[in-house]
Amino acid sequence: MSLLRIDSVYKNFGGLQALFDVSMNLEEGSISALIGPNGSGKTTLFNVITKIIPHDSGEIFFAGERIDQLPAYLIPARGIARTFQIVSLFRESLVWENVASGAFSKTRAGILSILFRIPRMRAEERRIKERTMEIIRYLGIEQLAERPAGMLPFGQQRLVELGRALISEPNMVLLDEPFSGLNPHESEILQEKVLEIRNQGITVLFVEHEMKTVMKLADRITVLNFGQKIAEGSPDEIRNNPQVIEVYLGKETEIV
Amino acid sequence: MSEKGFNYKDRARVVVVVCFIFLIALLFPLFSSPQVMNLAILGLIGAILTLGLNVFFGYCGQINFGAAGFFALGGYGVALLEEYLKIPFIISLPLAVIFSGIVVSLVSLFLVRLRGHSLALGTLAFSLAVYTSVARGFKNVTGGEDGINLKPLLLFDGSPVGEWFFYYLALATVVACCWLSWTLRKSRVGRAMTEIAQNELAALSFGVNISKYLRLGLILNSLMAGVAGGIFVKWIGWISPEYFGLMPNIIIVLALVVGGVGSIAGAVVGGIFIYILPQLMIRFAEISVLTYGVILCLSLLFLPRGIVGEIFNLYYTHRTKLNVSQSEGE
Amino acid sequence: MEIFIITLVGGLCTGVLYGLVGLGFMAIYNASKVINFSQGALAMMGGFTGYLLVFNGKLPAVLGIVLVAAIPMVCALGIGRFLAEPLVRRNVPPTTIMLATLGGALILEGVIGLYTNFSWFKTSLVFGARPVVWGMIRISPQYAAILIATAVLCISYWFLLNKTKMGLKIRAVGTGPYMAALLGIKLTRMRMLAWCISAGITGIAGFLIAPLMLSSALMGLPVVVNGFIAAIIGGFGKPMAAILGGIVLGLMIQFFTGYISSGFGEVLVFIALILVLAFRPQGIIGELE
Repeated sequence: MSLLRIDSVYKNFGGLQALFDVSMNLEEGSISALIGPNGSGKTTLFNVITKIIPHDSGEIFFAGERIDQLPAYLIPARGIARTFQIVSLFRESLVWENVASGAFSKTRAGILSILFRIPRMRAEERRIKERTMEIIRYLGIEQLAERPAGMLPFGQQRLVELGRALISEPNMVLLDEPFSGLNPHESEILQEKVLEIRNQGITVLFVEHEMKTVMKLADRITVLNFGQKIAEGSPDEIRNNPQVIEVYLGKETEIV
Repeated sequence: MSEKGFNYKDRARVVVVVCFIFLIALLFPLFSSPQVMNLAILGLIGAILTLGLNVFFGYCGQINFGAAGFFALGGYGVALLEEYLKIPFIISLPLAVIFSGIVVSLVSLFLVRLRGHSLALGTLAFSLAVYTSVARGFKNVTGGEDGINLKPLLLFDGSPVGEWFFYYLALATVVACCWLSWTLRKSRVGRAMTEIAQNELAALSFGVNISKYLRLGLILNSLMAGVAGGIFVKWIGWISPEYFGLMPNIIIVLALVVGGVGSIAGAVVGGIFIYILPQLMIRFAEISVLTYGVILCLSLLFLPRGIVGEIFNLYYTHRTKLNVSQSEGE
Repeated sequence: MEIFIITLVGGLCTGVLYGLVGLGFMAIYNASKVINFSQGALAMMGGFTGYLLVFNGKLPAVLGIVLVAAIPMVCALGIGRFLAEPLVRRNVPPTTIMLATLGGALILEGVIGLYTNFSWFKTSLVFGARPVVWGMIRISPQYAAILIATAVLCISYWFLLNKTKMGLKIRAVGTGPYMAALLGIKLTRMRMLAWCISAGITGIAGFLIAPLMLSSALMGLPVVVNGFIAAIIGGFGKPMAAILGGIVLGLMIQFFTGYISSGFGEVLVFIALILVLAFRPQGIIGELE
């Protein structure tokens, strides 16, 4: 069943066409990859889906509902969580607070229930803490829970970001270059986690440059170039697609 | 074993220290002269103001240069209600605070479209607008620069209430504001606010409606500042625009910077210190501006975390070293 | 009609003062990304230097003008070099740097205030009291001087920034500091140069307006607020636009306080600011980022 449907999305940045007639369809429970050279519009597409930036035209549907007219802060409640290309943790907040922040959209305690210490709110806060520690233990970073997030080594910061995305029990996670900057060991651990996530029923869409990882993980690959979709299909199809080869190999010869 | 952050030993120490301070504060009037009591009351009012600012500046991370304008709303609220409607203090104080909250609730609708320096500027412009409205525009109502005299608060038998009443009122308010700030900070809403300060994009991506929480921060600021204003004018017995001009706004920000932005203890310490300062030095008025400027610059350059913040930092660093050497010894 | 002309010219002149402050403010922001809260205090220093030397010290106006520009430059160097730059290097949040410039402003105002007892600078008109007549319009020579000086300062600034090598370097430091550093341009030196130019212009503006406004040691903060607003109305990011914004602001305030009500001038300013930021945040001729 289609979970995410992107219909003819356009985005122009003061003269630069970042997205041109991009359409995509994500099946529920799949792991999909979004690849393409630098500047091809991958992160822009993520930002448009999550409404961080407005798009010019086109429609986006999630679980059958139109989401492209929503303000950004209502997207997580629909079941979409993301990580960022450049790690965007709350650096002064503690690790557990960072992970807990992902639960914000699914919790409800407002200022009045907080001030009057209504039992429901205290129960909710306890539940948040429990779930936060569950996620932190699952990711193996328990001993770091009380550290300010900015002090963590890079690889562990990426795990915290993942935790933040997972805590809200999303239907779909968007991972923006989650493997970049990780050493092979860390990358392997993360790959396992991605598979486990999918096995729990969460749909995954990730951006990545490393072709080996992409081929290993993805059920379906979409290729962007200069803001346009140039190919889409299974790893085998993409591997043998002449246009894709030209885009990647052609670039390499230029650099050489 | 966590390296930074509280464990139960720290928690116990904090509780002990807080109780000790609270006990002293409770018994303070017993061994103080009226002059010292006056100082204490002014200091506590300063603490309330600074605690209010801490919610917006310390948690949400935006500077509010209009806190004295909120102070004015509370103060003039009480004064005008008493002057024209003869409403007793016990009722006029909460009414004035509500009034302050409502005004800011409306104004903040516009202000929160701004960020950073624009927001700071906008709050300053707001405060100037309040000031000139009160001093000139609504002169006939508010008495303009001459101000309004308030009647002293009376007990049932007609004798005037002593300074102890205002002291305990201010103290209770400080405690209440501290509790409110602490509960807020530990809650989901407080976390959302600090997230806005650290990374707006990420906060937005995880469900935080930034405008809404900035507004909330501003409103909480105005409520606390409003109470401070109400208590202040009844204690002084007089109100005039000079208490709400340009400099008072800056002084509130200065108090928080000196004490420690984001820290409740810092807000209290900074507030008391800055508001007692003028009373401690004779002829302070002349060098006040210069002194404030120097204090501000020195604070920013050498005590970036504020007095309280730097003390906590030293404590943590010391403890981390102890932990490391302990675990190395094992 | 007479009143109209007076209000118009008055508004124009206070407006260009705010505009010049806004220009200086934007010049510093463009070069170093610092929100300089002491901009108004620099104008005040210009006014004060003029008051001290020209009106009281009987110094010839020509020499006076030089000092009126130079003294604020020294102050700006102090604030920029010893307050702003160290904090910029420490990578503190912009709010902190803004507060530091505010601290600098307070120090300047505090010192001058101490000396003058916070009373008004007593100034007199520099260019005599005989009105300049131009067709139907008769204006005081002070106003004429202000308008002429503003034009000269603007043209000089534009020329300096766009047609000289130094200006090119300053712009480079502002738009691409890493690249500029790689090219061998000394960042701090260029930034301080920008601060100086800004301070000189602002100081002269302060000197010119001092006879017309009630000037005192504390005038700096309201002036910088209005200068900032002028820059926003004109177009944040473009120094020249600040002059335009200043004129709009000055005229608006003058006509409002003159014809409608004098008590609510600041309320008008606040509302104007909110309206601009809500409906046209890029200002009149600015561009959205």
